[in-house]
Amino acid sequence: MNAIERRVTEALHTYGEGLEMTTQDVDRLEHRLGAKQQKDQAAHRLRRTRLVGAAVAACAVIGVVLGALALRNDMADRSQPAAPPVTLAQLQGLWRVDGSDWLWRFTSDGRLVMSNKPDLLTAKVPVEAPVVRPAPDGFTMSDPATPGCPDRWSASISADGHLQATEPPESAACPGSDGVAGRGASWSLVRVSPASVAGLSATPNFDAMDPTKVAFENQDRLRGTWLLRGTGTVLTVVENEYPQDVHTFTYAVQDLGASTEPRTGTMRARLNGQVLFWPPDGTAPPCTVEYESVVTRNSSLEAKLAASSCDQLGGSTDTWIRLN
Amino acid sequence: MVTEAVRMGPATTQGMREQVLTELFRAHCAGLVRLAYCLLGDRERAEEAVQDVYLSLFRHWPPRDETSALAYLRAGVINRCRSDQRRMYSVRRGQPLLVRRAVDEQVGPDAATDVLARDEASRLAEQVRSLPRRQREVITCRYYLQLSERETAELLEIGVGSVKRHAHRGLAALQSRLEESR
Repeated sequence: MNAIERRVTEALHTYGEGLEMTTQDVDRLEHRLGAKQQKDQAAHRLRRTRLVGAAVAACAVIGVVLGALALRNDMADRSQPAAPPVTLAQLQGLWRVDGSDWLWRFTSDGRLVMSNKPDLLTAKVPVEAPVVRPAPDGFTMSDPATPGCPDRWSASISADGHLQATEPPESAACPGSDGVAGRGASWSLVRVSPASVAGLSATPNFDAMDPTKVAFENQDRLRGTWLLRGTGTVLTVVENEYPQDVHTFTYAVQDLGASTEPRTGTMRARLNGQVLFWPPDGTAPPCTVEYESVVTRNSSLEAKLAASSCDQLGGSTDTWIRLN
Repeated sequence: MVTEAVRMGPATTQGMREQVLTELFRAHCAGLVRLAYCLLGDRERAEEAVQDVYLSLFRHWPPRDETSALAYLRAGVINRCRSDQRRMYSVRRGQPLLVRRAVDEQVGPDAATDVLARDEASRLAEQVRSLPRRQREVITCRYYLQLSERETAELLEIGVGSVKRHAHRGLAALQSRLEESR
């Protein structure tokens, strides 16, 4: 082993083994795995039930159709027009996976980024992000990691903002490709920004807890992605990227239907429960959004604007729904 | 520890399957989380990746034996991290994990040396994560998991020649970056 190999070996071991994994950590993960397993099995049962139901329904429909065709064999044109392809304009925006904390963001040029962290408004779209192009009955997804193997997804978008999308199973032509979102998996999503009819009536996916007033000592409860109820405005709050400054957070707020760039800045809660959002230095005018109080139930936030606030993120009293 | 291949067989009952999975989880969870942590640099994502791979193992039961189960889990973690890394990005990329001033203020000289060593390890691990996908995976298998070239090739399902090539290029890139940062 030469010097660089030894150095890399030592560094990776120091780094990996430096991650403390206590018995409690393993217990916690085991508990979470058990919960996921139950959820997974329930979802599997539901899919199977739906498949059986769909098969029964399909048989009934086929029977009816065949009967009708037999009676009306003079029908000249029985062909159905293919569903129109989804367009990039329809896809562009932020979508919430039903019942999940995962969000998908389609950019205007058709790239797709997925995350269950509050980072989709601010972080750069990676160059290796999969690229979507409209195709009959859905779209193709090209993953730069597997060039030459575009996947043909079946997808449809309803007028009220629901996206149903199914990733195809692994193709024989491109074995080993691990896909973008799970081979053969079907996804049901709702567009939350720009606002859609379905998104406007979005409800929390998270369990509601007892109301707690946010103040300096528990301001990390604001960390997450939030949707201003009844709008397409999304707020993300993350830890400040500078490790020496643990008392402030970074925020971004944007309605993807109204602005091309998010408003960003710094957020901090005071000891008395006031919560401030202020823009970066040099912003003119240097206008701070000041909330008199913010109460969280984990699944949602109630924020009351202070009379002295110079600016606002929503209205005078806002409800934000947690997306992740 | 699970050692009996027969317990992994298709005739395994649901209860037995859960018991074996629990034993596998307790035996390998920490090591796999650390492997994922080396590849992702994020504890939460590493834990999620490992849980997803165990769920996948549960769905694709049975493995042939514990050796194949561990190989399946390791390969699954590497694949899952690959997908995760493509979609995600680290807001901390390029940021030092600790600042020298803060270290000196908080701890004594011996502890400071230790913390700085860990800091340097973090930076080098970050450099490994920023390598192209195959180089990153090969370097992690060879120098973190301490697998041989053949074992690495089997785990990543590539040729031994590719392992040699990716390891050579990855180490050269790391060497060059280390020299630049001096």
